[in-house]
Amino acid sequence: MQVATRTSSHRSIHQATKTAINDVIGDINGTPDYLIAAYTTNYKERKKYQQAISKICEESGTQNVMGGTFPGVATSDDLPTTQGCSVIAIKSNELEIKTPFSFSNIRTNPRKGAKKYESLFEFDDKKSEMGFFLTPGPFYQQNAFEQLKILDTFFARKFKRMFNFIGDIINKNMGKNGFGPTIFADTVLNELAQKGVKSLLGGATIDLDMESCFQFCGDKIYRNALVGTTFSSEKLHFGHSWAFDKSQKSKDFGITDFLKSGYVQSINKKPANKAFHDIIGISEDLYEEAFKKFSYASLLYLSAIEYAKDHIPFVSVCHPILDGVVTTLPERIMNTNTSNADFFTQSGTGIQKSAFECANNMVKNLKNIRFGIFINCSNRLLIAGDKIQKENESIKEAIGEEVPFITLYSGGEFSLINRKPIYSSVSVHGIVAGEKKNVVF
Amino acid sequence: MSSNQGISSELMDLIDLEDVEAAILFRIDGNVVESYFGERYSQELLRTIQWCKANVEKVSLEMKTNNLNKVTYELNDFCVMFFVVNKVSILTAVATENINLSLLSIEAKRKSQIISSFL
Repeated sequence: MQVATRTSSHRSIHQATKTAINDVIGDINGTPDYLIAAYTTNYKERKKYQQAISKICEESGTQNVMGGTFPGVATSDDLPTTQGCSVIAIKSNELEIKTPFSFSNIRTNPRKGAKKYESLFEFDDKKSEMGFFLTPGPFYQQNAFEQLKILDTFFARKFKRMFNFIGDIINKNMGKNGFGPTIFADTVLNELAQKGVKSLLGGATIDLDMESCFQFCGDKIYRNALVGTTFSSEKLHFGHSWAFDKSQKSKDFGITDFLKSGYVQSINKKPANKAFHDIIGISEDLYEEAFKKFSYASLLYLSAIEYAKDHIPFVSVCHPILDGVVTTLPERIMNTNTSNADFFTQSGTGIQKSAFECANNMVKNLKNIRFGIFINCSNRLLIAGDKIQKENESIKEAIGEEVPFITLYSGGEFSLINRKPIYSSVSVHGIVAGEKKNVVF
Repeated sequence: MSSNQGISSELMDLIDLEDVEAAILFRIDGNVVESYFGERYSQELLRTIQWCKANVEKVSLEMKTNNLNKVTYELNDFCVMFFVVNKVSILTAVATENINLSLLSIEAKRKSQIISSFL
């Protein structure tokens, strides 16, 4: 198996593409079977990404290209960049990689998208099989909170069912226009799990400025599409894991009242906004000062809900005009009786440790690792800043110094691990391909 | 590519980032090795750059004494980030207050390492 990776950085997308693709193609020595091309969001224009991805298809000689735009990208052999691209190319007889497919309007039709994706899976017991997909990320209109305030004031208190009904209509319309959260990805995971898909890794493209994010499939560029493929092999096996920084647990709390679409009305039986500030122990003014640049999302204080003997981390957006808190909790979890959550304070060191934990879990039953793909939350990129490279060094320590991998800093991390859906935030998910270790009794 | 061209290219990359107004490579004695500016000049920006030039020696001494890789100041509605390139050079990025400092620091670190290889 030949695997080549490269990260290049330049103000011109053409120059960044040229450097990356020349190096990768040079290393592969021939036409790769499959390429992941990830670009940073600073180039903005769809036309620029279109030209770049066409160039990659032309130079590499394959249409089996998948990718998207992210705030940051990295590969094992270079520092992460916020102004450039990362490419991983794979050529292998050991691994079968399906031609990537795309499904437009995934925000409005996640079930249909999942059905199309399902047809790519072989469900062959003799083979190890792993899906990999990318989706659009959270994307909000500028006045989204103001709109929510009106609904919260008039409907949410006394007419909860009506709010949920109106909320559904709003979500659908937002989806049609390319706005909304990434809840659709949770539906995709569940649908595929029910159909028998065992392993799947996914991530959401995102622009932190909420301007534009794109997904690539072949030489086509999409704005609201799921793009995906499957890897399968008779010889190789896949290691798959996920983690988040749970080293500093502070207080626990109860979500006592909530609405669909992840809007939490009360925490510990108090208005959620006020209770949230009480729990994290800082005043409303200070919170606003600290987090208004981050869309009021408390990246340093990550909440995680207890669900199926696990903690599922979610982002809380605590906007001053709302009485409640907007969260990234999927409806599937909120519809259960689960309501206990914990706060975990995020730190640079904790993030590095969780990346090591994730990578270490992935490789514990594998040897001769060929390559890795990591979906790492862009919020972790913001928390770590220029220390983000240490996270990739932790991954290398776990999976091997020479193992090539690509890291995409995403707007949502998704996995199916042994048919268990994991839809999470501020976390790292990853897969590696390698040979199974012989078990000695 | 010559080292001068290489350094210029890296600084031009930096000012191409949204909200970055100036990228300057200083020697620690305050002399400018190379500099690039965005299109929007203002009195405040010039005053901030003047402050950088006047204080880079003091800042680099502080960084060296305390083993700091980067320091950030906020003044005149701008953020100023100093990044150590090598023993005698400091990379300085001047950005508007809206800049995402985490993302800027990732790119500034990358640029400082590349510039270091040119010196």
